[in-house]
Amino acid sequence: MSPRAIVLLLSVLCLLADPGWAARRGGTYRLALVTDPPTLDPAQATDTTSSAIIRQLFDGLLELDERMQPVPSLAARWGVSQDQRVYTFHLRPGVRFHHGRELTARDVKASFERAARGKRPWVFEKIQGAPAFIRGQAQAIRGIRVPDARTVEITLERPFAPFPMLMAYDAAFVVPVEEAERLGPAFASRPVGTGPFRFVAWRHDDQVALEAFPGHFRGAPFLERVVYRIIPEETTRFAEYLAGNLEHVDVPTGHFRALRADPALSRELHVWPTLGTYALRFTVTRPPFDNPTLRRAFNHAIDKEAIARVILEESVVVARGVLPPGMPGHDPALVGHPYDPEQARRLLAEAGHPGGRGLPPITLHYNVNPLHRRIAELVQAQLRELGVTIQLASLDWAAYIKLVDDGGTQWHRMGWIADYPDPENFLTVLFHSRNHGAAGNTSRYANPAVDRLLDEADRLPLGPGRLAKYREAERLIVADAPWVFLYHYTSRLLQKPYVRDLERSPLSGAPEMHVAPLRKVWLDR
Amino acid sequence: MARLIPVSGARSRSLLVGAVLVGAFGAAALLAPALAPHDPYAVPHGLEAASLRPPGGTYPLGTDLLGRDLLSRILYGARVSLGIGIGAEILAATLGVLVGLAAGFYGGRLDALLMRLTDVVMAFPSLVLAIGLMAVFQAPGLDKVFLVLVLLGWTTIARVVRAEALALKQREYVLAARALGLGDAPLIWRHLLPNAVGPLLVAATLGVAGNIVAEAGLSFLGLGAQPPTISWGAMLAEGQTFLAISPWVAIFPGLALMLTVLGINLLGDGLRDRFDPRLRI
Repeated sequence: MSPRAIVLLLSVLCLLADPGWAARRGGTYRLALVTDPPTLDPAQATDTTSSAIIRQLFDGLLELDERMQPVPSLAARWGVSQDQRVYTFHLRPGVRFHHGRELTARDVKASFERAARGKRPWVFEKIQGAPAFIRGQAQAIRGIRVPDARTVEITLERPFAPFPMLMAYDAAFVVPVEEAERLGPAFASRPVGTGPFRFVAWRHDDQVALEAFPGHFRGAPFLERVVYRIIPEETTRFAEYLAGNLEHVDVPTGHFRALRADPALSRELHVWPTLGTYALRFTVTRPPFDNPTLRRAFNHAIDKEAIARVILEESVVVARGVLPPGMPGHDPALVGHPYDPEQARRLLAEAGHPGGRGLPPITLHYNVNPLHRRIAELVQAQLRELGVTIQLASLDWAAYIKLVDDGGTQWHRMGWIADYPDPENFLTVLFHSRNHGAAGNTSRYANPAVDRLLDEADRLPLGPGRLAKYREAERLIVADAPWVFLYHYTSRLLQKPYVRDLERSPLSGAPEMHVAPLRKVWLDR
Repeated sequence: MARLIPVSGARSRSLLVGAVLVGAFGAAALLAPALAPHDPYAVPHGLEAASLRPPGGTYPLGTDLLGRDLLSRILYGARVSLGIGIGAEILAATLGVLVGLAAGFYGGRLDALLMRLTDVVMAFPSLVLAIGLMAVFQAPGLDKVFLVLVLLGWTTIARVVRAEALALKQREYVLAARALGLGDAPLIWRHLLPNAVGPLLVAATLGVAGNIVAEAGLSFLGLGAQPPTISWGAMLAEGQTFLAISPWVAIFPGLALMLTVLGINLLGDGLRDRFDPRLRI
């Protein structure tokens, strides 16, 4: 064997080796958050900042691995009945909370009922009897049973194949209910869980500190401490990273190209697809956008490549449909509505407005943000060439989301990031006619054929048959063009070269990296 | 009539420089459609090549992120800056003159009431108050900026005019005119107002500069002009993002803003010295 081959073989062996074997213990991991987390209580959180910390402090019955597949966590194993309605979870023995008590199945039931009346009830509403409990018409959720201290049995109203993914979602994390009851609202700032890290201190608008929990059921994590620093200004976060005060950071606006060209920093730069879609959504229930031909004309009029390349510095993927790459069911063969000003002109004429004639000025709404404004300005300029006048209106987020949910816009921007990696979370939530408005379908799109396909697919077991139905539904939706599909998100991260095993999940974005399990991370220095 | 005192040297130079700068930007605003080498709103085809071009060639001042010609945008931006600056000041000055004359001429309770109102408006930091008012309107826009500038801009003029009116109404010729039976309105119109024109013009000129800065500030914060309306403040805000990689996007609108405001201030200073070297506002 040549020396080169030996080196190669050794490198391969090193790569194959269990990271636990080579991983070093100790050190503090410092990362930045954009805002102070609103809460550290899994039942009360609705944002990725809170989730980022909650995911280190608590565990769920299951978790998603790096391929986004459900794997055991608090439950050592689980099974589902023949009719796909009853899930049985067998808890791991000897799991302890940070305050010392052992976890039982009763904690799981109590945590789920507590969270079902929290901020994300939709996570539990597919469980039998949950809707009545959420409305306050029942004392308990009928569909959650605890046959013994180590078994939890959950019965669904009807089959819902992505249910295990909901059991890995942070709204379904398990808390010691007696502590949560004793502390009341203070539990949100003095959380107690079973997670690999335990809570140390929180100085509001400054930092949150965690330390390793040696009693974790998987053993102590590699890192000794985790410090989340709250730094709202993106250029300040970037400067702190450059000064060596953060282990990873997001890429500030306008810096991506320069970083990619930088010989040293480009090696610390990571880009990966995130399960999200950015679109300009029409309100399809009112003129002029009740006309699908006009909606298709607008789709062809907008240069999505230019938006991706120039405004987003080539860091995103142009969208041809709803489902992002990486999402099960994503259809690479979908053509969508590519940029084609000639086709746009023809369709505009076909819709009864040759050269834009007879079309009143249209208002495009967006929430205040330089990125949204740049995209809106480009769209405005490109439609102007077709003779269409677009007025722009920007509102702050709270006022904006209310207007959008109430159907008060003609045309609005909206992004959607997956809660769990299943097409139901995009197609059913965003296009089923029962989800008009705040539930997700802000276009108020309604197509009986799509509704039927989605209803069928939602009840099928995971697998190709189910995905085929979602693809068919997506093709119908794209043809109807209720949105201008712009791009799929990516995440951009600068990470110090000595950081090891930080998972870059398609569900996670910088700087929070909220689904990345920090228990796997270690520092090689 | 206004007292015209000949001045020389540095003071007349500042008047000249100010007049030239204001004249140049005024001409740019009026003739923008003829002078602009490109369509200031159009995003060119082949955006990638046109985006963030450095100054030179067909784009003398370079292009912004969306490939739009900065020179053309600055020329059109002058229309917004000067239009809002001068337009709002004309209305604010009219309001200020009415308040000042009423307070100064009639005195008594009316004077006390109007001057306390003036104090209240002046007591607030004007930019903070403007931001607060813009928040009330929900949807920002230039029309609202205009309204806010008028609502906040009349106070200085009111004080200046009141002071003039107080002094003038004691003058012999005013007392004589009154003794001859001249009514309030003709007295104010023929005697008080023409004599207050000098200080009024100076205060109004400086007010225009203040308005331009305020409009740019509000647009910088995203509370003023909305796209596609071109505002130097909004251009500065956009340029700030690219300061490290494409500094020209921020530098040229910033220079235009600085030179315009400098010109107006020099003009105001020069006018003040010409009308009355003792006058200080």
